[in-house]
Amino acid sequence: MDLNRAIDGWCRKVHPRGVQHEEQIAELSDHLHCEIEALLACGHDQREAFALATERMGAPAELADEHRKNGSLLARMCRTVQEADSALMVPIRRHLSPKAASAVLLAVSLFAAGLMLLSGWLLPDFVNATYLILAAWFVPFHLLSVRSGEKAPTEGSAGA
Amino acid sequence: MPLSKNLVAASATPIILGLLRRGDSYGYEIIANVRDSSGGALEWADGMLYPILHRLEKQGWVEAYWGQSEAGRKRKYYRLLKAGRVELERQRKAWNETHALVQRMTGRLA
Repeated sequence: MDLNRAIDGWCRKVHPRGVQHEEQIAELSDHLHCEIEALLACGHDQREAFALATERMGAPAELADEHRKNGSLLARMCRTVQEADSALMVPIRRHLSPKAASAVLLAVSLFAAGLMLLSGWLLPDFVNATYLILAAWFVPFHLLSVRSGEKAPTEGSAGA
Repeated sequence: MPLSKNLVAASATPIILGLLRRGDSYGYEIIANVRDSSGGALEWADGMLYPILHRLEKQGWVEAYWGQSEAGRKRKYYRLLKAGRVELERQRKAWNETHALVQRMTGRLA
C-alpha cells in the first residue's frame, strides 16, 4: 500500500479543488500521518491503521461541508453552481443525444441572456439588476445542487 | 458520561482557546489533549477540529504559522492572540454563569 498516496487521495476528497487548498491538505495530511504512526506503533498494519485513522477523521463529505461554511459567499456560490452544473450535465449526457444536449444548453444560454436583457429593461439601476440576475441564476442552481446532494450516497456519520 | 452533540459543539471554542493558552499547538496534539483531559467524555470526529480552528483564525482569536514535525513534514501551529484571551475569558464567564443558573434552577429545595 502506498500510504502517502492513500493519505493524499483521502485529503483531496475533503478539499477537492486543489490549488487554493494545498495548505489545508498539508494540515490534514500531517494529522493522518501522526495518527497512523501511533496506530502502527500499537501493532496495526498499514491498511488497518489507514482505515482507523480516516474513520476517526470523519466522513469526507461532512468535513467538506464544514469547511465550506468558512468560505466567502462568492466561493460558496461558485461551488454550488459547480455542483449544480454537474447535476444538470450528468442526466443530459446520459439521456439525450449530443444534438439534443446542445439544444438544451443553447436554451439555457438564451434564457440567461434573456434574463440579463429583461433585468436591464425592468431595472435600469445597475445594482438591482445585478442582484436580480444573481438571484434568478443562483436559486435554480442551488435547488439542483441540494437535489443532487440528496441523491448522493452518504458515507456515514462523522460524529460530533 | 459522553456529552450530547450540542454541548460538545458549544464547548469546542472555549476548550480550544483554553488549550492554546497553555502554549502553541497543532491539530493532532489538540485532539489528543482533549481526549486525555476529558477522559473520553468529549468525542470529536478528528477532522471537525480543523474547520473550527480556521474559524477562530478568521475571527482573529488565533493565528497560524507553519513549522516542521520531527519527521520533517509541514505542520501548522496555532497561537492564541490577545483577542482570543479576551474571548476565552468572556466565554468562561458565560459558562460559569450558565452552570450556576442550572444548579440554582435544578437543585433540590432545602
